[in-house]
Amino acid sequence: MSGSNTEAEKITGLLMQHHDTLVRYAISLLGSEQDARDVVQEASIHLMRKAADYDEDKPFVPWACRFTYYEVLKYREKNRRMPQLLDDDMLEILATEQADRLQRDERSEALGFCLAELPSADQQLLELKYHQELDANELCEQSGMSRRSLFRHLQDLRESLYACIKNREISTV
Amino acid sequence: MKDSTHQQTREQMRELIGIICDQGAAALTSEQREDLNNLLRESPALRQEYAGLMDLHGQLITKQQWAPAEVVPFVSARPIPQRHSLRSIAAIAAVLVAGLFLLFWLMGRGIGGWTMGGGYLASREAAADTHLATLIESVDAVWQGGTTYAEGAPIGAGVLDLAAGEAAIRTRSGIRLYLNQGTRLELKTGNSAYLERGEIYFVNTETEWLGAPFLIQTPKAELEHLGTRYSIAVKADGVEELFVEEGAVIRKDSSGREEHIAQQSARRWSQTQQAGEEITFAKAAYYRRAAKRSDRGLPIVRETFDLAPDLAASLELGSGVGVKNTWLLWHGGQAVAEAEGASLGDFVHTEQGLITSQKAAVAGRLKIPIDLAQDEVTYFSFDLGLDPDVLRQSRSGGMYFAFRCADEVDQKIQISLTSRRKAAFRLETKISHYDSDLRGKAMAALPISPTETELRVVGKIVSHAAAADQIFVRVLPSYEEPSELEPWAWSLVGQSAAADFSLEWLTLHFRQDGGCAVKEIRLGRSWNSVVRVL
Repeated sequence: MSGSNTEAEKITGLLMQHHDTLVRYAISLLGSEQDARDVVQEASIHLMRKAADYDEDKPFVPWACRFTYYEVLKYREKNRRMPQLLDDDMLEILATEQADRLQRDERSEALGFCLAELPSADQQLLELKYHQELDANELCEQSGMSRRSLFRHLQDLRESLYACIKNREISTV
Repeated sequence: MKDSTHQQTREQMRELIGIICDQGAAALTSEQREDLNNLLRESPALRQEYAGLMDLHGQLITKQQWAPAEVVPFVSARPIPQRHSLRSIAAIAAVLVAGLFLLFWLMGRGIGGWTMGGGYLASREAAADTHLATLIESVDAVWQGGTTYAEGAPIGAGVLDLAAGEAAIRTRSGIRLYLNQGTRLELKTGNSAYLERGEIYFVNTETEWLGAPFLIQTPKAELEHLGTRYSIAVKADGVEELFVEEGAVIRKDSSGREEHIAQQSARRWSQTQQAGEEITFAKAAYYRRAAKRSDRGLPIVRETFDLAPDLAASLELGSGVGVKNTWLLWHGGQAVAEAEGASLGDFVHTEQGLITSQKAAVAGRLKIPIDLAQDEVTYFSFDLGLDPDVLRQSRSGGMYFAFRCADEVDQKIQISLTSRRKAAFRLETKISHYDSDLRGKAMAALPISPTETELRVVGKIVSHAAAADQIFVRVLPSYEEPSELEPWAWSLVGQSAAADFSLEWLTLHFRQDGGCAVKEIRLGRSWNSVVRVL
């Protein structure tokens, strides 16, 4: 009993540590935060149940991503009448590529650095969207932008952050 | 040619990613989904870009540490310009200077919610001269400039400009004013306020109210209450509407004309009308509450624990509380969890009695019978892992817990709040029917009658990114129904703690020497969510 407790405790700890990474993984496969969180939730249950199977010598993230991927498949099957973001072949390819990517870049601190480089109004806009979760209408009201400009600006911001993160990672390497 | 095609496909991909991130994947048309998959299939470079940008989107969603919102004083130093004489302007200038003086003085003290030193509530009396009111309810309230404030924030003289959501304040004399979104109200003194625009709902439920009447001024008139509840709205076109629910209101306009409006009646004054026009009194017509976000602050799950024949407890989590993780750990018995009506999706049971919850939004029922060996069990405790970011993101700036307990013999309840990062720190109180013992220096003695057989304990934990953390506990005897609003006074006020770390563990530790029942342990993000239906 104590053995299984220790394993469960370890998995709980690892799950807590990597929970956000798994959510990111699921978001990239499903496109929706809420669906991703539901899937990770289910995956966590299975991970807990399979705690005894975990090989500590191997990295946790790819192992957990595999469970998450199976839950994504189950989720899609359950919601098969709904339109799916990715086709089956693309889902499989992206799932493999993204798991590798997350294992490499999981602890990247570049985002914080790159966010700080943005003008404060842009930082605030991203914070309102992602942290305070304002909807598009509220964001338009706060920023004074039209809906179209807002969406374009948000995409610009994400692209400049992405470019900054990539540059920073290259220079670090 | 190749370059321009590449540019076009990139542009197309960029647009599709933008839709997914900002409008949701469901907003894509079937053609757009097909295009997306084709682009991903055809170009590994675009696939890499898609994966990178979607991961960035995920990183932003899950990012925990955003810069804390700038804490600015609640008091605005800019009084509302009223269209009056030079004498008024001079008076306004005086108010402005006084306001600035007050602002600097308050900034020196660190005002803005739970503050440094002994915490604002602890030094309430010392600050009474400038503390005209308290923010008692904040439902997704965003003040002008995008600022938000925790419930409990002290309010001085100045302008309250509510851009979104709704809020309620309680004045020192006990008057409650509910502000609807879009309301601009200048709190002038402890007994007067100027409503420039918007809508307020006025409530005075103090049974022995002896102070001077609280006057509400509008651009057209002055309202004096002779009763308890009314709503006044100043609309954009200058129309004013008054609905008197209880008691009566005397309205005096600038020419000195007085109107007496009785309860259950309503009047409207247009720009040009002097005398009010009778309108239908209908409760739905006034105090239109701002649309609330459905996912916040409401208790949506209730869990029942059958601990032993004599012990019963249930746990109720408010939505949003377990967004990250909630752990429950008890000692001294074995338990097997069963779920009814829902999967164990959100709670995982292990042989240790550990349950983790990744989110609170679950329906169903979880039964956990625990086999308690009578001779061995001396206590059981719930360790609730509070995610510091969840605490900070709470709309009220705090987390609330409530439980009901009844006993036949002595029972001690120990409440402690600890920080994982600073194990040495502990804010703790211990209460029982017969004695009150507390280990936090600033805790007051707890007035509990030894004859009481049932208690309701409601606590508030405040974890503020930029100020001190504190715990407040209100103990309600069985005959006292909890108010729908957060209380003005607490039975226990915890010592405020340094602001550079956050309290993460709430332990409710129940020592039982005999029969004991702990019922309905709840966690929520607002006072109302944990006291309702108790």
